Amino acid sequence: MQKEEIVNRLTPVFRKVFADNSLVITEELSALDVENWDSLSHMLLISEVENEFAIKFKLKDLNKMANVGDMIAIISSKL
Amino acid sequence: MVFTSFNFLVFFPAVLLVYFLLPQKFRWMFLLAASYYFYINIKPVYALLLAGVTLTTYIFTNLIVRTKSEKSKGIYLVLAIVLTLLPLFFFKYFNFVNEGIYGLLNLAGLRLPLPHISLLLPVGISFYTFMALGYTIDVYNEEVEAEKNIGIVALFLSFFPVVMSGPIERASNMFHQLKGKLQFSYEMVVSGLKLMLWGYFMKLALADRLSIYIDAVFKNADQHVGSSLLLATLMQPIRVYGDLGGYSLIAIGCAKVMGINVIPNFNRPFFATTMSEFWRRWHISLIKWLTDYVYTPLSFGFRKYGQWGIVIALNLTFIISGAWHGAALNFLVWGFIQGIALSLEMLTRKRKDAFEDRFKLSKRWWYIMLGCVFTYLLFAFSLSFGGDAATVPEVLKIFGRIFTDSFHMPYKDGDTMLYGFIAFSIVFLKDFMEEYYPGRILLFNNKNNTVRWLSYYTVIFLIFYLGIFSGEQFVYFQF
Amino acid sequence: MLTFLKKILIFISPFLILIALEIMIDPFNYFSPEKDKKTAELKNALARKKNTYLYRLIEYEQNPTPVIILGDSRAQRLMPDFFEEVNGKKVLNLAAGAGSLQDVIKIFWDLSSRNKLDTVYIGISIEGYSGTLLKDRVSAALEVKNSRPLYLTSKFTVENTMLILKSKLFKQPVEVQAPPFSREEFWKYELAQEDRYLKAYSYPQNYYNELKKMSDYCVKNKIKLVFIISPTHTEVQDKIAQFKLEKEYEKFKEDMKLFGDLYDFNWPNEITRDKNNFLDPLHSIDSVSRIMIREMILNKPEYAKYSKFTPLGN
Repeated sequence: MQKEEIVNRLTPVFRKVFADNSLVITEELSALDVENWDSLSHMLLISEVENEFAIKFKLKDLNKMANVGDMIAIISSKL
Repeated sequence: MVFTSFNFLVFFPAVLLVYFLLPQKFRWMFLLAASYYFYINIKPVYALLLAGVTLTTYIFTNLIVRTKSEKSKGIYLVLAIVLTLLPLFFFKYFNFVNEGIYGLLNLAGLRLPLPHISLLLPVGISFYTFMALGYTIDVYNEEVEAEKNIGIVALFLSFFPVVMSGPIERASNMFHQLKGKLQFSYEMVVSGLKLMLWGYFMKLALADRLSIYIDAVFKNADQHVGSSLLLATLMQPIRVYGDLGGYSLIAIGCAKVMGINVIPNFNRPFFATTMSEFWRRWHISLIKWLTDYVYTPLSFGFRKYGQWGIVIALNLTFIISGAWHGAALNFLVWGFIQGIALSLEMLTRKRKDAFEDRFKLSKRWWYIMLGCVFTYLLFAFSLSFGGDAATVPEVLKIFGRIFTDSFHMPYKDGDTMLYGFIAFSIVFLKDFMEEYYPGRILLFNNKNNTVRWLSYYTVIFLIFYLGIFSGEQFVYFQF
Repeated sequence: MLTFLKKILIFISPFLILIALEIMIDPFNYFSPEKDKKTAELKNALARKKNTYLYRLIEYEQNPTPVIILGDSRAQRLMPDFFEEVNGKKVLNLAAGAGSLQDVIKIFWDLSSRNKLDTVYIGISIEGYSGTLLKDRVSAALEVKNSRPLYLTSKFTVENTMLILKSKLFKQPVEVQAPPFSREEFWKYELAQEDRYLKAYSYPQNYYNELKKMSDYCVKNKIKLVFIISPTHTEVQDKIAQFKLEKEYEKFKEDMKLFGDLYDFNWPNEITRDKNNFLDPLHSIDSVSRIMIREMILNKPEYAKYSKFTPLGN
């Protein structure tokens, strides 16, 4: 899957989890940039992303996700 | 030897002298020798245990890295965790678990004799065990490379400033420093000494002073009126802050003098307006460890359960934190209280934020103060469960008396209360200024030489004038 | 690195000078007994104000006596010199102002573990035999005594060193602190203090147990244990009835009789009714102390209600 397609499918997920319909995701976006991105919403996000792409993250992957760019890379590697 | 003993005041300068006179490449070796000397001085036999945990960690981290199969890596990880936790379990939790099991069997009508082990807890075991576990898990998660030099691993786990009572360090922060250039840096030496000086003040003038009152009341709880019990309860967080916070500063300062940066452990905790914020400012190294190695895996494992998954993860994490502090029911209760408080905060977060936004509360000073006070009270009362001698029914009895006893003047101990108040005011003012008006008043860091030296001398004088010097054991020792 | 070393040396130089002064002046005679009589008096006077226990414990270690006196400020007024005058036996008075029974117990066990004691006099009162007076100032003094670094860093040592230095340099005698009130005001003040103690009274089961242990030990080791209830003015004695503590007061005396000899000087008689026999309601003058000492040593109780100790068979 191309990166662009991943971003397109991720955007609604992010918007749903963070209840923000204007949210635009970039590769550098991280928890520090979004209000309400705490441990709860992080896990919800992970769960929703797994559902959306029908993949399963490993705990190892979690630690490697510093920003959305990392997340895209990991999603890509699982598809 | 403890930081507040005269032995240490001789040991540390001696170590520094040799350390800085040695050629740079031998320094880490000397630190290892000094650390083991320091530890053996506490009890020689326990040094063997430390060495054993070191060896286990070294072997398994390298095994994990060498094998290619995921399954083997997993097996090695589990083995490492079990073997590393075994001594801690044995020394700390054996009796507790035993009594639990035999209690249950008793209920079923089976009376069996109870094997009881009365062993003194090896100093620092809770700390270095966590450090070893953290490192091993990091290697498994490919966050950190397995260290091939067993000496470095040994130094990491035995490093004398932190071995007894933290901060709980990480391989990712320490290894590159220990293997790197250990140089004399004038700024770091002076900065480290300032931290140590302030740490000594917090420990000797504040914590040890308040301990006199708190212990006098709680050791004879029956003889004291409700107002004394209340006063002692309210003093508890300040006492622990002075104790563990002061001790951490001495540890961090000590390491800094030698050119090594250790993570902070406290960040002006009493200015937290919520328990969640409090736990980002209190015993930071422990919480970070628990977050990374317990909370995150748990919440990840429960991610399908949404916010209830988080609640379970939070509570389990804090109950484990309680267990880490002590092998008794009251410690678990303490942990559970934190878990509940944080869960409630999480569950009501959105509504609270909306409420605050509506009335623009978050910037009002009285609202902030209210938050700080409420958080403090909650923590103060929860701390009653965190004592070695406390049992749940006793603590509840004390709470009952606090709220139902008719008012009498609290137990008064003139000197203790006066000097304790002075010490507390000084610490509070410093933290207050740093929190809300940083840079406004500089004493230790003033540009003027005279002001700086005067403030050093003043603090030293205050330590001797207000401080308590009877070898009182630091609370976090039997850890 | 060198600049740092130089700076550090300059920084700690005042402390080195202080330590040198402390060792030279030695306000508590830690390093050796004081030979000069005037200086000894000066040190004694200062120690009484700051840390009596440390001074006396060191004194005892340097010159152990078979007879000791323990207790609070009332017991402190029993002059050791007069004891010696009456029966030639050397006595050391280790009582201190505001001394608690806790202090007495701690000193007893420390001294008896190191020397064979002959007789132990304990000044006791119902204010002291109370569950609310638990303060322990002896443990700290013992720790300082047993540790040279602690001694040199103790604020008492520092303060007294400075005071002695000042006195020697400026040839000034040490002022004894006169109370800021007149005699009458002080009289009333002391009575009010007594009220506070009596109001807070609670039966001290802990002290009962401790004294029993002490008593048993003394029987076993053939040490004579003597309890002294020093005389207080009748205005103070009346307060027992005022606070309805008659039963507790009787129990207190009965308890003492279980543990050792008891000389009770604290009852209404011509001495205790006369204000002229007292410095303040709680403390009698020297001539009264002499009467007490003579009666106890010669065992001729006139003003004392004497009760002989008979150890119960085990």
